[in-house]
Amino acid sequence: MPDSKDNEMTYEACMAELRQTVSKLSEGKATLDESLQLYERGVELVAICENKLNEVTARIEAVNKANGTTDPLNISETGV
Amino acid sequence: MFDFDSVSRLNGYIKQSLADNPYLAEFSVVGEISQYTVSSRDHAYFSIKDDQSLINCVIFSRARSQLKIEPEVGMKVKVYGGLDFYGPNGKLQIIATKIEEKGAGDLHEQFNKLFKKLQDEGLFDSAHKKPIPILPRRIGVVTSSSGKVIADIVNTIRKRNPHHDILLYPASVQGEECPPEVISGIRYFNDTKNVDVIIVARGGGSFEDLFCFNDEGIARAVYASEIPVISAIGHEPDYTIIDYIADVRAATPTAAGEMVIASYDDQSKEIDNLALNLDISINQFIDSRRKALDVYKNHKALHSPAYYAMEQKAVVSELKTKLDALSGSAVKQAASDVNEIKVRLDALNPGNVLKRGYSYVCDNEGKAIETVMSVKKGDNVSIVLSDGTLLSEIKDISN
Repeated sequence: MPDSKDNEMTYEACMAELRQTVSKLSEGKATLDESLQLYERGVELVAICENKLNEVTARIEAVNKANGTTDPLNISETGV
Repeated sequence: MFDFDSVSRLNGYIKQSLADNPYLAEFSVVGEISQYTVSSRDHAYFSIKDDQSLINCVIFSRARSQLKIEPEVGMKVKVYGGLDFYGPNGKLQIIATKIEEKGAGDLHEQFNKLFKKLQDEGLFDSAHKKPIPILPRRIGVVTSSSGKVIADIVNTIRKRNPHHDILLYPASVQGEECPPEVISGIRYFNDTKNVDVIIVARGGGSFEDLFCFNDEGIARAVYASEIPVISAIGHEPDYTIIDYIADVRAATPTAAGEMVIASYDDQSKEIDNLALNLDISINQFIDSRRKALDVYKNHKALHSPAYYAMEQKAVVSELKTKLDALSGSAVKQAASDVNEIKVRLDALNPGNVLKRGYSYVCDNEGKAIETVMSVKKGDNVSIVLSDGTLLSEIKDISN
């Protein structure tokens, strides 16, 4: 399972590590144990990246300068 | 109250009033050319302005042909002429008779001055540019809350990745309120740290409309921002100071939306591909190891100890066949040699000579007598013919 350190990683960092893991594994130069470890880490990273890609919630808001809150912004009101 | 019974009558009166005013009938005024177009009849229609005001002008072809300069946008000029009110379209304009250059226009001068100052300070250096995250959790946008720009950005971002959060900081994007509001937007996001990237955007407009983004305060706020800033002011050819300071400059607000968001589909595909490669790689790795192992596992030497013996036997057998083949030909060669010798021997056989009527003489021991000196009178000798032998006695010797 991904640990908390993984959750703090940016999406870019996760993708970079995933790419590196795949390329190391595909070189085929690692030992069997190392290769299995790389594979496990790769599978873990795929899950983290997918989670990160899907976790944001698509909220469209505007800052309310009067009280500093953020309120939903209705884009249709802006004329489109 | 005077009652004009038609627009034409009102416009006619305005025209006459202007013509009657000596200050407006003939004057000169200094301004910066902000538009300049030449008609097919070689008249030039243009406008001049300062920080706050603008007036339209026309110079007709005859006066234009007398000009010593070629007026262009941004040029600071002194225009000589008189004011005219053109009734059919209700347009007030200066009919210019002469245009003189007064040096570069104020706004352009301001721009160049600030540009050089900030450039000299190194604020445009690429070393200061921050990378734009491809999957920001939330995108801050500083722009007007009314108008097409925020809608364009939201729609573009949604199209590329429907999962993104967007937070608008409403700000004026024109006039005196623009710099302080844009600056507080950038600061707000930096203070709250609630976005991963900031887009400062404004739709297209004239050089003057966009000029508030050539503001030193905005430039310094963008430079100081710890969050990457994308500028998207006006459209493709428009450049303002903020574009040089921002981490990335987008040609249009829509382009900014595209730039900040990696396509969800593209990212999703890449993750899938990497996951697939991961599986392929580990399988290939295991396969190659297994194959290497199989080569030894299936080796005959490991299955049957007699294998080498059999192999050696085969080698021996092959050698033997080769030897046999070789020895066979040696025998044939020998036989042919013998035959040849036999033919030669036949040719030399004395019997064959005797058959032709010759004979030879030998002593009692069968030894050939080759000279008369080796016999004497009374010796018995044998004369050998082809079909028998004549026993004879030597009666006499002559030579």
